[in-house]
Amino acid sequence: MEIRNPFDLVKATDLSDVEIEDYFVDFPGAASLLARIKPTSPMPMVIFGGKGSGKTHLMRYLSFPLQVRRHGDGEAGRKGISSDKYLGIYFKCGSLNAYRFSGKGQPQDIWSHVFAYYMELWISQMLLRTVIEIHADCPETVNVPALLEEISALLDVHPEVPINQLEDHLTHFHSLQRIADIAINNCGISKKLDLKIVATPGNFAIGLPKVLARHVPTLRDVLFVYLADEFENLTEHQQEYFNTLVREREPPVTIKIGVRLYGIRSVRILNSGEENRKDSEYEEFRLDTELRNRREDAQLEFATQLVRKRLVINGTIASKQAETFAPSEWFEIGDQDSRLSAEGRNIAEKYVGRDTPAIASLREKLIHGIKIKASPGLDKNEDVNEIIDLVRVPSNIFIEKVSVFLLYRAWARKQSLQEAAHTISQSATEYLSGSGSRSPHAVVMKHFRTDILAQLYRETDQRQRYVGFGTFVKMSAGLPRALLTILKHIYTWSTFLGEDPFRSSKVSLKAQTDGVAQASEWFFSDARAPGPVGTEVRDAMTKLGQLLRDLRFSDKPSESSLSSFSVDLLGAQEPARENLANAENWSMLIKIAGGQHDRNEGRVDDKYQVHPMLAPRWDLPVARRGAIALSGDEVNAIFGTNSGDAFERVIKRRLSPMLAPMFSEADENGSRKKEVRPLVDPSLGLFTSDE
Amino acid sequence: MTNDDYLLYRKGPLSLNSSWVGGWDTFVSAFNSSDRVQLMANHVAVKERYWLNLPEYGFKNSDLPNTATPYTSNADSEFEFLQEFFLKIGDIKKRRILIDITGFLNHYVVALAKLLIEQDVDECTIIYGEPVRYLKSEQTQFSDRSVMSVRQIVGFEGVHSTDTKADLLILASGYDARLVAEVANNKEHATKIQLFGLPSMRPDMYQESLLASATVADTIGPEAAHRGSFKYAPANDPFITASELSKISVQHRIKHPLANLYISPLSTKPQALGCALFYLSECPKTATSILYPYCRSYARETSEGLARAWRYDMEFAHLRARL
Repeated sequence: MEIRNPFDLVKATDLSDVEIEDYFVDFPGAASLLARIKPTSPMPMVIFGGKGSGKTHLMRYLSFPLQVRRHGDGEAGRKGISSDKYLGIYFKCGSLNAYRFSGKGQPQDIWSHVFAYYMELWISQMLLRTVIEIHADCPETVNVPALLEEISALLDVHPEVPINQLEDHLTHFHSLQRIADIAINNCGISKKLDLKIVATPGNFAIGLPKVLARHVPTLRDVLFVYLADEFENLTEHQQEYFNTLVREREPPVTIKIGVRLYGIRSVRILNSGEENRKDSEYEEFRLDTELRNRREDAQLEFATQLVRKRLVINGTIASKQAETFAPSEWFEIGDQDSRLSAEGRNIAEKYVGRDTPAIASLREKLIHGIKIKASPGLDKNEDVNEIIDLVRVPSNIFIEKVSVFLLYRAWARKQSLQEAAHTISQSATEYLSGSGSRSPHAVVMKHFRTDILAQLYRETDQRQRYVGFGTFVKMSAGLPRALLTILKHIYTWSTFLGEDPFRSSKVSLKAQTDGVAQASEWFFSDARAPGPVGTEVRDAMTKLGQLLRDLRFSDKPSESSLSSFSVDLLGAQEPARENLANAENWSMLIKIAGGQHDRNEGRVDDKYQVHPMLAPRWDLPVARRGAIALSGDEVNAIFGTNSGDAFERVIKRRLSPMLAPMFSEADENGSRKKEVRPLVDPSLGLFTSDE
Repeated sequence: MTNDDYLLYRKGPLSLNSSWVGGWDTFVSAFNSSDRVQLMANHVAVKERYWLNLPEYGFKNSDLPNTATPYTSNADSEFEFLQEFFLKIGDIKKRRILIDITGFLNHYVVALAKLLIEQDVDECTIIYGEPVRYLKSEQTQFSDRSVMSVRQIVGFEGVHSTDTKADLLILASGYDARLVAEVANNKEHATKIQLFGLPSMRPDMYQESLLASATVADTIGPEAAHRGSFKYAPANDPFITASELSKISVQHRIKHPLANLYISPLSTKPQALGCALFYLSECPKTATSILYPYCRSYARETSEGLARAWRYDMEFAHLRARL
């Protein structure tokens, strides 16, 4: 029997109510996300989150259908809602097809009124349908004349149809909405808006819950929580209607707004220049930041629970197995020996009897350096062999790579290469024997291990490794959908390769690498702003990725695990600032709290990390350690609308100090200018202060 | 109207070896730089001729060949553009009109169908020329892919339901996968069905459409991997396209009578015409919309040659009462 991919469904919108309940995962105890959303708090909340951060899942989990699912139908459901002390009315703003309420020859303020009216009708129907459903087994409890009459009284024009039960009101509101729809649609053709508005904004969204609370016993002490999802799909003026609800809410009503990071277009309220203020009229909850900032082990446990639930529901593992099932044990992670002994031997086999790529490249650069008198202490090509013999480590290609790296560092500081090579050779021997815990090799391994490994993979034609469950959790960076998408692709590749993931065989490195690459491409193409902005942000990210990649794979990278940068926004022009902000809003960049302290100017600059989901696209590290400080001009060249030449100059200027044989700075045009001033770490002799 | 009724419309081939004579008074085409647009116009033996200069292509009127009178405007919508054009040329009800949709953009094709009904046109001949090939196969870009907004086409906006649990989005998918992704994203919550052009206009084009669609499978959702969510209608046949849409819609509404239905015409112009025909026949005042991803600009030249040409005899009189 074919087993369906347990990670096939990655979007909460694709899940049924049953699946929303079954797949739901939360942090334990006081760390609970639901507790942070505070459904019983009357204070309105704006829930920000990048695409796939879980807003919809959380909000749907709080909605009425899920409340009923948890408590049961009939009396049990009514008691459950009473004890929950809230009733979740969930809706997607995207379903309103908001563009209909604009243009068509009508001024904006008319559309604002029409939209507000339309929302009143929309919300009323949802409320009535919910109440009817709650009391489906005892309709007599809600069809009391006083309730029906008070609802009629909320309308500016009393219904002409007989109202004997709540269903009649529902039908009436539906017909009013239908009349509005037809008028709005015809307006596009006739340019005339022939619509009579029969309800005042707020009368129903706030007034109807009050009436219901008065007459429906189940709802007497219950907070009506409007869960307005996909708020980003509303225009500025349409958002003002909801902002007005936020401002004018009264018991028993509150509102939780789910919105993407870029989605708030206005905080003003209708018919007034006034604005809602955070922590005064509403509070904010930033979901992906919250998830990212949880302790690493808590994030891993959360992700583990996500995986366990899916594997149990899918039938891949038995429910009794789930509690002890550790997803991390089901992914091959390759050679974990710190010296990469086994894997290194396999790679080195290709180069028996000839130079490894690192040695071949070093040899070439040394010879070129002699020619241009830039190889300190070397006069003739024969000297090169001596250096190479000292640096070469036939027994371990990885340690050899570290030795080459150390030689480039010494070279950049204009040290005698012979002396440096002898020191490096001794350090390699000590490290391999296990005695050199403070040797230069040991220090490089501590700080640059992943970067040197990345260089080794690249120059020996291996693909970069983004493997292991922990890596995938880090890559998702607060976006559970990103994690599920990675796992979905990996699962597909794994089964394609004939493996039996999570049952009888571990997921191979190949399946992981291919799956991660595919998920990364999806992330890059999916996280896209509309219109030309989207293209500009993608272009900027491509430039940034190229710069960081070139630095990481240079001869003497100055920063370890480089995936971050700080920016001098004072020197940046407006288009660059906007694109930077858009890149953050569309989750391509993550802003680092606290920023980066500029050593020279004393400023605190904004600091960003490339979203780790994008790391495979440019062979960048998932982890964040080093950062480069981008000047205003550099920010303009990368994020602005400058010509490609300006960016090419940035690349040259940044890379020149990191490339043998010159290791020199470049002038404004990108040409090599002057030598790097040697900086010597007195304790180690081989390191510069930039580490 | 049942899905079989669409098969009563007439579709027929046009010979590429002769002029096309049909007693038409007026010929209307939309200009772009693809060979087939001018080749089609050259076959038409009609004196009163118009080039619609659609603003999205960015031509000046002086860029257009002088084989027809150019018309352009800065109208707010495709519907308004065509409305103003027909107003300018006078009462079209009294004319026998021939419209070539080869150079039209899909949202103009959809609007055109409604406008002809609004203008009291009872019958009209629409023609379409198939390319020999698209310039870059499945990599061909028909737009600058800078989607400004995904929204309903004016006149096809529907009367929607507050219950969105069983919403259905039918993507008439073509080469421009980015556009497919944008629409799928806009109605992320809806169940998706992809309607592919099969038989395609050239044998390889169907495979190329599948390849293009596969590049955005993650955005479309789990349905993109399930063949049960793939439906087919000939790429050059608006009538079978309408019939297929009718079947899909009836099947969905049997289970979910109140569900919102969205259709997005992203494939060939005949299929866009089929989407419009289905909508105008069965969907006015229902919870059904035609959605379109509006781009900043569209490619002026996307194809080479003229392989085959078709005429579609449209009858609108019976649809007027439904609006």
